[in-house]
Amino acid sequence: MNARIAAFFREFSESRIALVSLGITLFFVACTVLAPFISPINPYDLRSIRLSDARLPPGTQQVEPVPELSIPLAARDGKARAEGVTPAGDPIVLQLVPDSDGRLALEIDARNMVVTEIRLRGLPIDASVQGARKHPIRSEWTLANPASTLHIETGPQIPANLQFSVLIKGESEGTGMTFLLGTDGYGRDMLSAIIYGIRISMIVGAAGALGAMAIGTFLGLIAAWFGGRVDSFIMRLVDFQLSIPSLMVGLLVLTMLGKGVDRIILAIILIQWTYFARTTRSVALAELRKDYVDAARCLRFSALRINLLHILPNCLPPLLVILTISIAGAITLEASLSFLGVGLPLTQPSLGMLIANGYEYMFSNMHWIAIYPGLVLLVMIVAINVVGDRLRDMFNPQLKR
Amino acid sequence: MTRVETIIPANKHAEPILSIRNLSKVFPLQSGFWDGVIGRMTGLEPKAVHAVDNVSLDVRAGETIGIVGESGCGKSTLARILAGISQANGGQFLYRGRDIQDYLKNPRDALKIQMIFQDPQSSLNPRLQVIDIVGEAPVVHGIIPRSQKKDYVLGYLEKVGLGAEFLYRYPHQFSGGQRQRIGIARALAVNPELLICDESVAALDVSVQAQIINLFMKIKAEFGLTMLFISHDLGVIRHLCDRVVVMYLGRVVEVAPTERLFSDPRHPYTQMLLEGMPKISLERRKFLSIEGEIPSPINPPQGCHFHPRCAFRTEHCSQKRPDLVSLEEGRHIACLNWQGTSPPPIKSGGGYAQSENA
Repeated sequence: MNARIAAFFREFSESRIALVSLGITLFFVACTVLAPFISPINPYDLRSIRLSDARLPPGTQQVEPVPELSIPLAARDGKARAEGVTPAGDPIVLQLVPDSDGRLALEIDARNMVVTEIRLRGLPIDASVQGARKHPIRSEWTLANPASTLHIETGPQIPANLQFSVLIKGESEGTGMTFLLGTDGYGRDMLSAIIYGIRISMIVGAAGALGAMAIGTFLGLIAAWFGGRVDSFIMRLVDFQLSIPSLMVGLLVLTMLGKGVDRIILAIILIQWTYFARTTRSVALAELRKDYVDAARCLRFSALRINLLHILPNCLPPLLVILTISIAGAITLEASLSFLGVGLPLTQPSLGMLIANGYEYMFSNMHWIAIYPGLVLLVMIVAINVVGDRLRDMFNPQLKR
Repeated sequence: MTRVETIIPANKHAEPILSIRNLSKVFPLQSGFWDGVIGRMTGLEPKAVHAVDNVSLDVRAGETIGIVGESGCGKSTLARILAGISQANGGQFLYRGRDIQDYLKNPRDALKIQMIFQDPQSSLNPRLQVIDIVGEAPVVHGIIPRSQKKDYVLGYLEKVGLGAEFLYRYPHQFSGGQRQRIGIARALAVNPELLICDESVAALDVSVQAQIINLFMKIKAEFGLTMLFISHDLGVIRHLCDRVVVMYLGRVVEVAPTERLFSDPRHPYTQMLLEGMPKISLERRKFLSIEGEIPSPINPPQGCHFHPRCAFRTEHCSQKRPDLVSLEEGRHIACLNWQGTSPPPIKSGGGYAQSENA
């Protein structure tokens, strides 16, 4: 058996492009299985997503939000002391003392925090802060890159009661994370979203196609085995179904049942079982004419046993071809339905939904949101289809040299 | 009008293991809804192929019966009915005195009739190993426990001349003769009483044919089998069979003990068949060469099906269907002009099972 598999693979490899496509397909399968381990962030975890990261172009480094804290000061005769804690957990001590020139000196003791900006709010309107820029209207003074001691002039006399607040901003730090493919409109890392999108597209496609294969094969075998009216009924059902565009069936099902992974799989099964039923019936009819089926009848096996253990295994090669192509078809279908907004919920973006989201930004020069998932979808479907075509060529004896 | 064709066994005292009376198999050619409507409106009889047409036959235990005829004469259809694979439309089919449908209800009973197929390539499931091909049925039907499968299969492989090294191979790894041996082992493994061989050596090389024929003779003796050997090869039939049934377009035309048939063929069709047989030294007797193709079974000639090709035909051959009449002990012929083809028979009329439908 191993020798047969090896020979099969050797024949498959005769087509270079099919081999490359098989590699790409396997890569996507690996993405599906390993998505939680290889993706930089989990795009489904809404807590890890910051709207401040939205719509960043590819290659942008992610930065932490600027750490800041506000400390109120209440001074009596120009003297006050207050303490605060930086976001990193270090203590900050503020001390206000009158100095010899009749000014107030504000000493900031921030040991482990680089202070990039200080704002003083609520000082008397005639006060002034040395080196600071006053807000045009509000009582707010901003000082960039301040020294550790600020000097505040409050006029000829130091007020007996003085209340104001000090806003201290620290240095913003990079998180070490780079958005290689940018971020989407919700601040999700596109690379992670694409990897998870591949995962969900593959799962939906494979589950839908496998489910369709199970049902279609079952009905095809029934049609071939019983023949007559059963056969006619099932095949007319197939004809009826094939006369309706598949996207219409999908829209109908999802509009009635609502969004969700399970429902889109159901829709795909409802659309694709027909191909499997037709193929199974035709192949099974050919197999039924072979003597080994008569031999199995003569050995008085049950119809179930003959169908499942004798006929079905011999029908499998063409069914595997249909399965491969059906997976690609199911992925396309799911992407189309998601693009139209009836597919998957917003919190579980598939490739189609990512494309739909990015479509909104296409004309705002934010091409990356739509183009990268689109490219991935394109490559995925082309690769799976090439593999399926190669398998079909191999099972078609007329094309054999 | 009911026609009865009866074949009385040469030895009336032996109990028949298999007995069929007026067995017919009709394949309708128009079976659609509109065909039915049109048929009812016009009152025409629907077109159909009478693959097996009122055939009666008794087979005694231990006997080897040959069925010969050109392709399309219904011998394979008859074989499939007798093997219980397809069902007859009319007539009676008793196995050991019980109606076959009743008999087939119990799978263990039904295993007593087994079949060997023509094409050893397609008669073995290409996805199964030999051990499963031969051993599946005995295990499924509880003849042996699963744990004994390997030894059991091995035993039967040895009986058909194959060794243990073949157990885990697939059919495509065998030659035609070996495949046919596997098919025989598969049938034997369920302890059959009646073996139906449908052209079982036709697809093999002549040298391999001889081996398989010898194998059939060996297993027949060893397992005490009753055999029905269907073939178009008269040499094989002569070598193997006790009695020969000649069929033409679904009907039996002549039945005789093998030696009598080959030494003194009486039906013009049998004579034609024997003439076409190579390397057989026949008695110096003049046979007329018979021209023409076998007619279409959809629209067979009226009266005697053979009359358009028959050298002895008379006017009423095209009007009256000949019944099977007894010429001598164990010898029957369905020909209106049997007097013209050979000396007169001992007595006419079967009288054996005619009362049922007369």
